[in-house]
Formats: sequence, C-alpha cells, structure tokens
Amino acid sequence: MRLRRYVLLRILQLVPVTLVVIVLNFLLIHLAPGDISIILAGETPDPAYLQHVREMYGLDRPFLEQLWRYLVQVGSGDLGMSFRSRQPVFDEIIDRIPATLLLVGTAMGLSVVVGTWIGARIARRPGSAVDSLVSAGAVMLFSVPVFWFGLMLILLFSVQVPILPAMGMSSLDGPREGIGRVLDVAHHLVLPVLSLMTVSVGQYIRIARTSVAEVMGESYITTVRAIGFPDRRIVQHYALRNALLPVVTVLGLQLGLILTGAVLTETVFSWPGLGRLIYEAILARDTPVIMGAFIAMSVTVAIASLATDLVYAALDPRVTL
Amino acid sequence: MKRIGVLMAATLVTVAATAGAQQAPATLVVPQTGEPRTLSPNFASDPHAFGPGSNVYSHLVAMDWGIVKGTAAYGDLAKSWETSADTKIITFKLHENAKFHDGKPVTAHDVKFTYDTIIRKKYPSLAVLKSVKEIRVPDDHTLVIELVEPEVGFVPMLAQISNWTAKIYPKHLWEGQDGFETGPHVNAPIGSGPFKFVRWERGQPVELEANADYFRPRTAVDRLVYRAVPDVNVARAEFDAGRLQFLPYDYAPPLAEVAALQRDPRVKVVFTPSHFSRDMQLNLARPPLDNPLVRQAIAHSIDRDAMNRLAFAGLWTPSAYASIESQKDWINRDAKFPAFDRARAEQLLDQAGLPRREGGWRFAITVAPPNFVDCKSMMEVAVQQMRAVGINARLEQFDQATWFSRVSQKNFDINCYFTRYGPDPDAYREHFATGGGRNFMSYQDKELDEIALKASMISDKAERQKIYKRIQEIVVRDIPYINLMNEQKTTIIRAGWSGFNVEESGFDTSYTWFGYYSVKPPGRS
Amino acid sequence: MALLRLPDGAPRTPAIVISLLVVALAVVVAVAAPWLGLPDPDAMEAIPYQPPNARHWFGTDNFGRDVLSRIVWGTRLALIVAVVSSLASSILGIVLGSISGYFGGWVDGVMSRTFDVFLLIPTFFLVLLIVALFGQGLQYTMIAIALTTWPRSARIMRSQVLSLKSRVYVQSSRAAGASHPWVLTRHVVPNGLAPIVTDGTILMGFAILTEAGLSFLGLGDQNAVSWGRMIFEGQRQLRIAPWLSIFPGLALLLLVAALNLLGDGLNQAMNPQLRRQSIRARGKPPVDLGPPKAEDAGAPILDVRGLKMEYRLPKGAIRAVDGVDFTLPRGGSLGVVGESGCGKSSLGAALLQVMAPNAVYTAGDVSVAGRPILKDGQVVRAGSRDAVMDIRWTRVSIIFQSAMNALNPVLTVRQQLMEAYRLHRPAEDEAAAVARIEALFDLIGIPHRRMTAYPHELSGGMRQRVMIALSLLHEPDLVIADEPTTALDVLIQDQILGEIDALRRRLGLGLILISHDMGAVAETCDRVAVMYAGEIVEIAPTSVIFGDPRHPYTRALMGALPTVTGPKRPLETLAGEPFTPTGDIVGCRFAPRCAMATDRCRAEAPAPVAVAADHLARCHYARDDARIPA
Repeated sequence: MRLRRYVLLRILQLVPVTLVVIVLNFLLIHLAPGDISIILAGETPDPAYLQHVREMYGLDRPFLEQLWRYLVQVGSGDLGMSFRSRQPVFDEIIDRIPATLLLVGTAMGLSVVVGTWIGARIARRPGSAVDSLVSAGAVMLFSVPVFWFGLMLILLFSVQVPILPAMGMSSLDGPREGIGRVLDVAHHLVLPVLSLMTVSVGQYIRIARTSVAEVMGESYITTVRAIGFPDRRIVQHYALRNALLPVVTVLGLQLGLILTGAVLTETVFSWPGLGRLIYEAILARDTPVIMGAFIAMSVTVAIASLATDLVYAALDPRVTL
Repeated sequence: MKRIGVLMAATLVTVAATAGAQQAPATLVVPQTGEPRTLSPNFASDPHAFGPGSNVYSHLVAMDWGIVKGTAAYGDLAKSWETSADTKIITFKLHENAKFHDGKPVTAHDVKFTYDTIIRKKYPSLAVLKSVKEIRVPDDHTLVIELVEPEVGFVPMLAQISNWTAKIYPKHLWEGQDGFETGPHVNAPIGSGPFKFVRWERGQPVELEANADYFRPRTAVDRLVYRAVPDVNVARAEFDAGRLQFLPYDYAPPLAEVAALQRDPRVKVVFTPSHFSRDMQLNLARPPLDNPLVRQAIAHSIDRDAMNRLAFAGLWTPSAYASIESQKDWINRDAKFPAFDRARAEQLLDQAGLPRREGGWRFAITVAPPNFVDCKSMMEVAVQQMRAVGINARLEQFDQATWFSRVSQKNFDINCYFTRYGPDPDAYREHFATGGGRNFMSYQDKELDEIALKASMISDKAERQKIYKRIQEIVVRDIPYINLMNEQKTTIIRAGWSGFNVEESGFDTSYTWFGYYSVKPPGRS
Repeated sequence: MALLRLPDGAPRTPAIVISLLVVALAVVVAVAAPWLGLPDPDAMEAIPYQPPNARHWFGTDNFGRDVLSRIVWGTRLALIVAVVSSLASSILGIVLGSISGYFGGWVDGVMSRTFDVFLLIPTFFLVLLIVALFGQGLQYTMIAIALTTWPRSARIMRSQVLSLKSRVYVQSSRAAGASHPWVLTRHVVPNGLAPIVTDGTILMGFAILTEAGLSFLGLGDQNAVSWGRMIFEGQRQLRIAPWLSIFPGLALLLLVAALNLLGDGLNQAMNPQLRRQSIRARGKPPVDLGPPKAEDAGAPILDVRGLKMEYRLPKGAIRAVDGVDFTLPRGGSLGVVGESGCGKSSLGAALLQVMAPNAVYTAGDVSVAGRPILKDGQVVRAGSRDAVMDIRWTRVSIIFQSAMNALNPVLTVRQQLMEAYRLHRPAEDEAAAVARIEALFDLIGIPHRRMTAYPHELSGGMRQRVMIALSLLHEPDLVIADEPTTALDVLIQDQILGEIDALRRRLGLGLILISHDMGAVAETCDRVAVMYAGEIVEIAPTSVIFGDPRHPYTRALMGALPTVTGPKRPLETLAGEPFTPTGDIVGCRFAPRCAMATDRCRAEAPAPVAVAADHLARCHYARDDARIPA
C-alpha cells in the first residue's frame, strides 16, 4: 500500500515537468519571429488549414487563453500535424520509436554490461597503473564527439576495410523475416551501437569503479573476505550487486545525453529512428515535429528518471517507502 | 588511398563477375536523399515523389536531358501535335494502345480530367496550365488545348513541368476524390507508365516492376526500387559494395575524386550539361547594389576560373554570357559580363563613393546560397573574392525552405541562383521582366519587358533570335545578375549499364528527367 | 585557466598536469591566432586536397584552405562557446541557488523543485527547437545551453549556502545587522564558489560538444570557423580527404577531454574521500611452502612471532602492528586492550589477512594449529591458493565491531548465513544449512522468523547476535571478537559479553577479545595483552595484569577502569596524544606521556622484560620494584 502511494506520488511529480516543458514551448513559439500560425501549422500552402489552426489554438484570443488552449491541446496528446507527411506528429513519433528503442536499448544495455564489467575489474586494484589508465580512458570516452566517432568507424569499417554496413537498418534485398532478418538488422546495428556507446560506457566504467571500490572498502566486504569467499566471487557477487545501485541511478540521468547521441548517431548512420525524424524535420522546418519531439523527449527523460527511482527503491531494501 | 582503390577494385571485380552470370531479374536501385511523402506527385512539390511518379505515370508530352542536344519536347502519350497559326490552339493525337495498369485504356478524357483538376485545385503545375483557356476532347484519342493568349513556349513548358507534376491520372479511379491528395491510390498509384507499382511501406523502399503491357516495348529493367539514402558517403559505400548500379548526380562525389574515377575502367563518369546556369542574383532594391557601378565592380571582382578550380576541380565550364551553351540557337556570344579585373573593381567602387575605410572594408553585404553543394561551394569562393576588393561579404546559410521563402520575399543581398534559359528562351521573361515570377532582383527595364513579351507571341525564329540577343545585351549592361557557370551534373554509372537519362544513349527516350525506361542492364543492350 | 589556483593538496597527477597544459595551450592558441604566422583560415590560396605535409601540417581542404589554421581559429569559437555559456549558466545558477539556499523555507521548496524540473529538460533538443524557431546563430546555441544547465550550479550553490549559512561568521554578520544581499555576496557566495568552478570546467566541455553537434547537423553559425562545421563539411570528403574530418575531431576530443579530466581531477582534489581509495600498497611476494603439512595436534591454536604490518599512506607508512608476539593455546582466551589507534583492531585483521588494501606485512610469522599462514612477512600459498583460505571461518572466525556495517545491507540474514555455510560445505543441501542456522539461532536466542529480515530491520543487539551466530557457523577453534559490543548500549553489552563467554566455555572455543574495555576483558579472558603504538607493551595472566601491572601505560589504563560505584572515567585522563608509530623511532614509545620517563627511556627502545615466566613488559624498569607505586 505504501508502495502504491509512493509510485502515485512520483507519477504526480511528472506533471510539473510536463507543464514547464509545454509552457516553455509555448513561450518560444511566441518569442520566435514570424507568424505563429505558420509555426504551428508548418509551411502549408493550404489557407483553410491555417485558418483551422488559428481557431484551434485561439490565436486571436488573449495571451493567457491561448496558453490554456495550448496546454489542453498538447496535454491531450495532440501535437499537431507534420506538414511534410500530413500525418499527426504523435503518430510520426510513435512510428519511429521501435528503431530508436532498438538502437538506444542495445547501446545502453551493452554500455551497462561492458562498463560495469570493466569498472569492477579495475576497482579490484584501485590506484594501480591500469586503474589510472582506464579511468582516464573513461573520461576520454565520454569526451568523444559521437558523430565524429561514427564517421571514424565508417572510415575504418566501411571504407578502408569494408566489413560492416554503414547505413540503414537492413539490407535492401535482405531477408524480410525470420532469423535472417534478425541477423541482418544486427549486422547493421554494430557500428551505430558502437558509436552511441561512447556516450555512456565511460560513465559506467567510472561509476562502477568508484562504487565497487567504495563497496570493497565496506565492513561487510571485510566480513565475507574473512569468511573465506575468494576475491573474484566477492566482486562479482557482493560488490557488483551493491555497486549496481548507483549505476541504475545514472542510467536515468543519462537518458537525455543518450538521446542526444542517438540523434547524431542516427544522422551519421541514416538509422530510421526518432533522431533521424528530428533531423529531417529540422531540414524541412517542420516545426510541429520538432516541437513534438522536444516535448516527447522531455517527458521521456522525466519518466526515465521516475523509473530509475522506482527501480532503485526495488533494488535497495534500505529505501523505506 | 591506394588501399581504398585496391579494395574497391576487388569489390567491383566480384560484382562484375556475378553480374555476368545473372539471369535473375535485373534490378535497378535508385537512391534518393529522402523518402517520399506520398506517391501522388501531382498535388505538391515533393522532390522524392517525382522519381517513382515519373516511371509509374505517363505524361502528355515529355522532356529529358535530350534538351541539351536541342529536343525541347517530345510526345509521351501524345503521338503528335499541331499548333494553330496564332499559336493559341494545340491539337494532340494520342497513342491508341496506351493502357493503365488496371487494364483500362488511357484516353484524352483522362488527360483533361487531370489537367482540369490541377487547375481547379491550384496544384503546382498551374504555373504552366494557367495559360489554358479550355481543354476539349473531340474523341477518345484527340485532345485540344486552347490558350488564353498566344504562347510559343507552352508545349515545351508543359513538357518541362511534366517532369515533376502533371502526370496523367486515371479518371475512373480518381473521379470521386476531391483532388489528388486523398483516396486509395495516393500511396498505391495506378498509372500507364513503363513501371507498375508493387509495394511501399513507410520507412521501406518503394518497389516497382516492369509493366509488360506498356504501349511501347517493355523496359529492360525488371525491378525499379527507390531507396532513401540520405547520406552521400553511405550511397558511395553502397555503390562500391555493388548494391547500387549508379550514383545519381545528387550523390556526386567531390569532383576532385572524379579524375581517378575516370581512369577506372569499371565505372563511367557522365557529365550532363543542362539549360540552367549557376549565377549570383543581386538585389537591386538594396543599396549599394542599386548602383550600377557597384554591380559592375562585383562582376569584375569574380574570378570564374579560380572558382571553377576551387569549387569544381576545374571540371565545370565558366560562363560570362547571359545564356547557356546548350541554347546554341539563342546564345549571344557578343554580350559578356565584365571580366575579372580586381584593379578595375576597386577603381569602380572608389568612383561609386565607397572607398576602403577602417579595417579596409568598403561596405558589408550578405551572400545567401541555397542548400546545394555546388552553390554553397561557389559562394564560399565568391565571398572570398569580393572580400579581396574590400567588400565585407559574409555567408548566410538557411535550410532550403527558409532560403526560398526569403528569396521570394526579396529578403537578401546576394543570392546564388540557377537561372533557366530553356526549353524555350521565353524563360528570360520569368527571370528578368518586370514582375517575372523569378525576378527576385526587382529588376526593371522597359525595353526588355516590351520585346520579351513580343517574342513570346511570335513564331518566326529569326525574329525571335534577334530579340533574345538584344535581351542578353541589356542584361549584361545592367547586371541584375552575374552568370558564373554552366550547370553540369555528374553521374557515376557502373560499366555495362547504359541508357540512363543523363547520358546520350538515354536522351529523348527516358520520358522525363527521372525516367528510367531506356536503361539497359549489362548484356541486354 | 592558468590563473586557476589548484586547491591546496590537489594532486598534481599526470592527468591534471597534462589537461591543464592542453587547456592553457588552447587559450594561448586562441588568443594568439592572428600572430602565429598561419595562413588566413579563409584564404583559398593553396592547392586543394593536399594531404598533411611539411607546409600544411594538417593538409588543405577542398577550397585549398589550411586545415591547421582553421583548427586554430576554431579554437576561438570553441572557447567562446565554452566560456560564455558556462559563465551565463553559472551566474544564473549562483544567483538562484544562493537565494534558494539562503532564504530556505517555502522559497527554497519552490525553487529547488524548479531546479529539478529544469534539470530534466534535455539540452540538445531545446537547442534544436530554438534554432528551428529563431534561426541559426551562436548566440541562440549559447542561450539554450545556459538555459538548461544552470540548475546544476544552482543545486551545488544551494547546498553550499545551506551548510555555510549556519557557520559562525555568517550568523554573526546577521546578528550585527547586515542585510541579506550583503551577507550573501560578501560571505556566502565567495565561499561556495569552488565546486561551481569545478563543475564549470565540465560544463565547458559539454557546451563545446553541444555546439559541435549542432554544427555537425548543419545548424551552427555559418561564418564562424567551427570544429563541428569542419567535420560536417569534411564528411562529404571522407573518402578522398579523411584528414578533413580526423583533425578537427581530434582537436575537439583533446580539448573536451582535457576539460573533463581537469574537472574530474579538481573534484577528486576537493573530495579527499575519492582520493584515499586510490592507494593500494604492494607487500612482499607470497611464498609457496608446498602442500599443507599435517596438522600438529599439540601445537597451539595460534602462534604469532614478530608480526609487523604497516599502512602505506601518501605521507609515509604507519606501523600499526610493529613486532607482536604471542601464543594462544587451544581453548585459551586472550584480551587485547589499548586506546583506539593502538593497533589492536589492525592486529585482529592482520591475523586473518583481511586488512585494508593499503596495508602490508613487513615481517613476522603466523601459524594456526601448527600450519604457517604467514612466513617472514610473506603470505603463505599452498598450491594455487593462500593458506589462510583453509582456516578462514573453519578454524578461525571473526566478529567485527559494528554489525550494522559488517552485514550486507541488501541481503537478508538468512541469505548471508546460507551463503557462508555453503561456501565451506558445498556438498550439503539447503536443509542441512537451514538446520544448522536454526540451531545457532536457538543457541544465541534469536527467533527463527527473524532470519528473513534485512540487517537494517534488526535491533543493534540482534544484529550482533547474528554476527556471533555467523562466526560460530563452522564450529571454529578460535573466534576473534573485535570490539563486539562497542556500538551497543550498556545493558546489551553485558548480555552479549556474557553470551560470548558462556559459549566459549560450552564449546571449548579459543577467544581473542579485542576491546578498550578493561572490565569486559577482566571478566572473560585468561590472559591480557596491552597494546600501545603497535606493540604489546605488557602481556600476562588477567589476574597479574590487574594485580601487578608493570608497565606505566598498563597502570594508566587501570586508572581508567570504571569502578562499580563511580562513573566511567575516560582514558583521556591520560595526558598527551597517543603515539603514532611512523619513521625512525628512538626510545620508548610511551616516554613522551610517561610521568616516570628517564633519559634512558628517551634514548633506548626497551625490549620485553620477563617479569615472571608468563609475564612480559616492555619497560626498562619493569623489574624495578622501587619504581612501581604500590
């Protein structure tokens, strides 16, 4: 029961975030140069639709009423129409989510696994040369411009030694279903995932290292050492488990950065996801899509941070709800 | 670099080997920089819908790159046409055996229906069809178009606009719809062109297949696939990997690379001239560009040869004429823009009362090219050349849509443009006559207005030639724009393939700039 | 950047030094760009597409512009973006954070919520939106970065202010009638700036990357030479001129990495906790004495000879255990007493080889039941594993000070006991383990149902009992109890001690009780060892220690023994600071605090003096009855 109340409370905290984002959006539209109705409708030649948009958002009404209408409109999930595809922005975004989810999910999952593994390994010998080197390397990793890294990967693996596809999500004449399809997509996934991983893997290495090192200094680790558990098992079984908590926290906080990386990665590798949609929308000045994407991304990040808290609570018995 | 070459060679050899053995269906994959919004090309200017549309649909009259050899328009559905003496009435005879992909015959009623709808709904091809007073259908295979006023250039213009829009839609399938934007055939088109629609899901390639019942001999390409490849490097990698048979000019490699490609026997590099130029438009409504001395000075400041070397590796052709090489009958080789001469430019600017001031600058100006690689490259160079004579020029970059809306609102100083000189020289009116649709420079010249209008209504060629040569003299005198280069497209085609619209073997048989009807896969020529 | 003073004690690690150099270089290059004798970055004068060569170190681009020169000029833009946006962000953050922290109450409530909300807005997407709506321009990029990052500094500032405002000088200023803004700007803000500066360096890196990403999408400033734009333009030439993309990317990576490493280093410098972890000492190599010998039934359960163990710290080594000898017979019990910091807990950990990572053995032998586990300060290995592994928990177990921390907080008691049981008896099934655990719970009086509790759900006494149960799990011969009752209240203390004592007698356990509580030791142990500064200064049967202490320190400890009637007198009644055994030690370690110290004491370190057969004292005058007060 307490859990339910906690969850409910945290979900309620999404409201101010969403509100701020929408209001920010609204203010930006009003501050921007040019006709608001054109911004909201996109550069459509259809005067009837423009008139419709004007009425829908009440653009001839007082400012506060406009704000209210806008809030209601967006709050109900209506993000307007993309003027390029003439589809609702909401559907456009939903359509692109699976590809992005595959890319971001794979990259994040691998980052967590690889990062934590490396971090835990070097944490066993804190202060050693390997530790210093890997730690500095981790900082270097999250300083890497992801788009540049993507280009370098293309240069290496698609131009110099052409072994990996550099674009798209599947081969043109590749299999359309079954295991063949999965392998084909996986093959295309390699380079984008590698470059997107640079955004986060360095962070995870550091966090895992710090928290494993910290946990290794805890008394209860001394206890299990005294009990006779071998070092490797202690790191894997005890330290890692406890050190995962900070990793989980960062997972949520990092999502904004990873989504940014996804836009750039999808642009470099022509991955047909949300990032690519945003890029195309920007090139075409499809403002409804850009605004919709901004709102969607902000809300996603907020939800991720909420989910993080909940997972944290579930993982750590000490958190009393 | 050597290594890349070797690897590329290896791939190409393998591909060539497999290609020789193939009896599998010949597939042509056309990369496009984006995905179509819809597969109904007539209602909006969607650059990625033109490709599929041009191959699925037929047109009344067509035009392709054969224009650079002098073919202004030829018949597609039209077998022949006659123009009345006053050039106001054109009578088209249609092919009798043309059929839509659903088996229904194509008749003059379908043409009339399509054009009437375009006019009623004010779709993009209205720009040309607005001259139409009435369309009549005396019988199923005869179409009569009556114009409001005499217009010599109407058929060529209709052929040109048909490259993009004005595709002939089947009346029986669209009649119930309000326009061409809704209904079951927006994304499942049924036309009468050389290829039939197979399937398209958003995010996936558009697939077409050869139309066995085409009213001309069946095309040699079995499958035509449009695939979105937004990135040039990626397209290039796909080409090298053998998954693309050609690289259209949108994906032209940097021209510096072309020399090496030209030496490679496994590919052919095709340069295609056009009837457009690359030039700079000067906004005459904005000081100091309203001063003819300043415009002359700018013209003197431009070094076309250096520009060609830097922006195009010397592979384009600079032009100081107010016309283009492909318009052989109309070009005036005596009318030239001021030649490169920095000293003269500085002198003229001093004379114009714009001496070099603090920091060495005379005045500031912005240069806004559209988002084309060639325009951007040229303007980067032009900016530096103007700066060399004390003009503080700066680049301003917009995305395509913003650029166009700013240019349309005449909100620019200098802009890189693509002036058109064909298919009929009447094009001068659009660019330079007072109030012309593409006269963004606010240029006005009474004499030009008068003689250009006159030339549009007479059919005597010698008389027209005289007028257009005079127009070029006027333009070169007043300098509302400065011609820089003849436009040229670079296409890379895998050896063995031929008949592409950009090469001579495809001229006059491609049915539009986007048509692939005449393409021959290896071993099928 | 060069003006940035490193906080005192900041480690001049290679990473920090190199990154400072890189950042300084970037600043110098950016400022001096016009005078470096490089070609004009916009001049299209060289031959295009030259690969790197002697004239053009980084080659030339498609327009014949010098890439090196463009990168140098690009440094300017990168630094402008970095400085302006992080400055704007920090100032906004400092102002709002200070206000929020200083006023507290509902102001703070509302404002800190706002920080949280803004922190969730993904920067890059806001930048994209702003650029799409307002057009391309460096100013918009910088505004958007500042607009989404300020809450970082606001949060830092807020917590700084919260902790600072309670400090005396702030309070006294307020009392003296100073106004809020004055106090804020004069006292609070300057003192809270350090972490903001640190975060600012990281923010700069972030700003540079954001601008570069935007330029890469073709949305950056068109007339400025930007690294991101160079990569964007180079992308098209990737095959024929890869250097056009490679070098600006490297420059970007170098500067951002330098800023991040710097921020990271400063962070560690200001956060000593992070630093301490990074010390790990390397001791003598292990020695392999071959397969373990058969056990000697007659040997004492524990034999310690000349054991020396030291902690390696940046300032030097602390010899926490410095030549300890003692023997414990089977079933025997020894109390180890001394002030905190005397090395008694280190001794306990050293016996089972579970010291902190920065501790190493320097000498000594330890054998358990006749089998060596430490030889000449070298860890004994038997085959592929340390010999100590064979005795941990099966022969010798240990009860640590605070059971709260000694038990894993995320596992239930049952899980922890179960795992420990099955580690040493992998062959036995779960039922056997449960039976054993339940038997132990019965033994020490914990209800079975508490087994499924997490440690934090148990009371302190319960937890300590769990710890005891854990120590008895494998029926060891010896239990080392390190301050087993310190964290408990007095009543429970007695109870637990009583239980330990009872168990020991009932099970015939050997016991080493480490404690500063002389009373506890007196009740439980046969013998007592008194430790001071890493040494056993006196060891004797309990009755002798209490009846006839020979070392002045032991006597001082006795004086601190609580009496039944009076309150406990703290050990601090002993004058002077405890001795820290570092460096070369001359004379008796206790001499500085010893009321009876002589010149000999200060010059010559005393060896253990045998007062009786089983009574040793490390004092020159241990047998000098005249000097022993009655």
